[in-house]
Amino acid sequence: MTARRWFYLVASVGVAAFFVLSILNYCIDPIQYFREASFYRPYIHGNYCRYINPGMAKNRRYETVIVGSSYMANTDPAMVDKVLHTPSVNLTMFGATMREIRLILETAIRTGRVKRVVWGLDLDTLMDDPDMFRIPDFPLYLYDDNPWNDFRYIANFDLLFKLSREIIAVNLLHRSGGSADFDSAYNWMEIKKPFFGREQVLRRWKRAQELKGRAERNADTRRLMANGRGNITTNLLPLLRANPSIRFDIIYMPHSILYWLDVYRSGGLDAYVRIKQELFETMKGLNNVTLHDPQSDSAMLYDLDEYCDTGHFSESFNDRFIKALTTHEFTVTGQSIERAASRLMEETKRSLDVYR
Amino acid sequence: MLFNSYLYIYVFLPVSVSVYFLLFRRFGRSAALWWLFSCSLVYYGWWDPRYALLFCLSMAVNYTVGILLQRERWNGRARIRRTFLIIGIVVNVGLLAYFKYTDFFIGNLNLFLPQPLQPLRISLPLGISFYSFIQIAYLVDTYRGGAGRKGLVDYLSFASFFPQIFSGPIVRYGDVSRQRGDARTTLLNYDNIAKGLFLFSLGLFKKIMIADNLAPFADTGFALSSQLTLADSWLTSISYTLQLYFDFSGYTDMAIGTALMFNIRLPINFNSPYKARNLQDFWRRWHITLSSFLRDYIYIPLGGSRAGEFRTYSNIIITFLVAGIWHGAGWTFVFWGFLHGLGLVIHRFWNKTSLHMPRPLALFITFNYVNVLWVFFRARSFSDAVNVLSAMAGLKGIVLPRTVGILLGNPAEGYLRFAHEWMLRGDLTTMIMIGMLVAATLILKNSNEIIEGFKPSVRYAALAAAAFCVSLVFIQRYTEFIYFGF
Repeated sequence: MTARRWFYLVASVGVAAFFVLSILNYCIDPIQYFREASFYRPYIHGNYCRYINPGMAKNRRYETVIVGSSYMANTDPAMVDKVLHTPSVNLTMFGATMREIRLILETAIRTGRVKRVVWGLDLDTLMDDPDMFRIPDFPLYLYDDNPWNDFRYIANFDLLFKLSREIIAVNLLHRSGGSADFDSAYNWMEIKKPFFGREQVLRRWKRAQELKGRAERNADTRRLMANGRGNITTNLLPLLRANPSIRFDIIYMPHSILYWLDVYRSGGLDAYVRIKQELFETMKGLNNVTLHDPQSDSAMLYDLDEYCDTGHFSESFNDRFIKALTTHEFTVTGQSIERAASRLMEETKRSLDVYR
Repeated sequence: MLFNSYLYIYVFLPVSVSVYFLLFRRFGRSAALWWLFSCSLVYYGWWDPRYALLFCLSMAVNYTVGILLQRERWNGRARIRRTFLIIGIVVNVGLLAYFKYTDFFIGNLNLFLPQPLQPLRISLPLGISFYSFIQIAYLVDTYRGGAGRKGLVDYLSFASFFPQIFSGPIVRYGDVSRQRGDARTTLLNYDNIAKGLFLFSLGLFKKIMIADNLAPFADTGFALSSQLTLADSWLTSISYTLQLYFDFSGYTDMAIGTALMFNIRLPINFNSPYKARNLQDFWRRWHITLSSFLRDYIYIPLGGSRAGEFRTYSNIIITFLVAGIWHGAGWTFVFWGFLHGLGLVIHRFWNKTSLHMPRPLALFITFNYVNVLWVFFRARSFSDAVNVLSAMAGLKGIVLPRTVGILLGNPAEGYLRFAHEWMLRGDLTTMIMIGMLVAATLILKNSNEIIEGFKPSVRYAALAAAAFCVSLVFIQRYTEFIYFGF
């Protein structure tokens, strides 16, 4: 073989491989970005939520969007449909940052379908840098209307390889895993079931206290104040102001009393109260925004059987605060905000001797 | 733009090579070299155009100093020529010092100041360590009268030659200039193109399939250094030792492969370094062009081994302190360099004893010495390095798989413990894979040896295509090359 022929042979294989893989990726569309899967059972898994959500936002039919972090992942869209009387879609992301939530909301809003947003706000996400992505290779190219940069998805053979393995396992080998149902795809209750229960939560909390130094928690709280305002002005306010016709229900994610004890013992509870006050003051003039605060509710504070760790709760809590959207049980008003803050403070102080 | 990106592989490289030879044929040498220079600027500026301007400024200064050094009117006036040389070197070292060491200097100064100074947080222009050294070598060679022909475009296309610009090899002007003077290099040469493509595919495979898969073990280990135990710590250090080698030698293969397509043979940079039987041997095999630079432009000008025993040893230590600080602005790098220098001094003592060390033992000691020293190279602080090293020495206890405990009849746990999760990351299979990779670096032929036996045959085509296509699947996960940070 001549060197010339050798070169053309290898180069052709290299070019052909690229095109074949690209076409395959486009046809299979493993994250269903271009279209919903029709010839196979899709594999939808929380590990790929940042890749799957833009496609869901573009291709599903809905009027209400559910966003937030893992705390919101168990929110059942069917329940939301029933309570709010509109079709909904769950676009939560595990470990979501405020920027990531803003981006998925903007993607959904650009479709023109969104009338209502149910935003489960984990106050800890306000600690992150306003420009931060949780993963280093966040697929920004999926979150815009530019068709040219979709090339980066079509040429993402790594994703094709990983997801195809799962799709083959689910479809041909009939292995369970992931979900074909968009509505329950991110629900983690089944996986975490063995971790639920008062005894387990208390035991792990005590062990975590030994491992996690107080200094670390203090640093977290300082970050809440340092980055909180930046997140509000960069990732929250512009979105709320730019979409006055969309109704936003922002629900502060509840946590167990153990979580608040950690915060209190590190001297950070004031910061949480202050940031909630700031949020309330900022939202006051916005008629399309309602704040909901179930954080000082007794059951949510003390029913440790409903927790799998100090922060993550069962879907029954999700159902409760979704139902409360119409009953206004947790709606924040000028009067209730002070009451809720002092109650959270009192309950935490009262529990200091109970949980050591 | 990285070598391991679609843009480079499918667009930039084919266009730059084909237009280069087209221009050579149609418009001659000068047009082709201007094209090559333009491609290099695009390649460099893709990262940050501002730094491309800085790079151009650096080249302009060095070219001007080079012209001044060549002027015949200075013949016989050594002091003037030496002054020009010093000015040139000071500019290069000054630029490098400003961008790379200012914050390091401020940090150290703050230890003695009552009011600490704010760090400037200057971002490091990519490749500055490499292009500074390449241009210093050029000035010194010109001063010594060995650099050859120097037209403007010759110089620009040499100094900015994109395959080498970010991480070397550190090339001498004379080497490239001689090759460009050969008429055969003006024509598209399919032998070189085929060899270049083969080498490039090997390098891509090393980087994507080996180095990038080792990275998580090294990264996790160093990030959680305080939690490491015996097995973890060895997995961490050896993973990094291998990752660094496959990452950097993979990059070098791609650089040499790309340059070959332009009919330029860049010097080899790696020659199975972990097969070295002593530290001197190691430095003849690892980052060879840097070692040559340090030898020719630092060690020998300091006096080398010609000025007595003590001076020889101190010259070795100084040279390796420079090597350490060149790699990074931190005391861990300086210490790494010092320990290499010390190791070389000990090796010289050993040589004088005329004692014989069995080859496997020599290999074992050298590999482990280098492996231990890479811990300082990789660790973010001395305490991280000490954490890893004390765990490697068994001072943080030994954790073994629970099944081993069962096999031993569940002995009482103390220093020796048994757990399901006996490693932070990885398991026995990982250990075996890493062991096989170590064996591969000790037994298998390296890229230079493989390319010497290269023939445009079906076997080599299958090998190149397989390496390329497998890497292609994972290319989107691309990560930077480790040496970009130096």
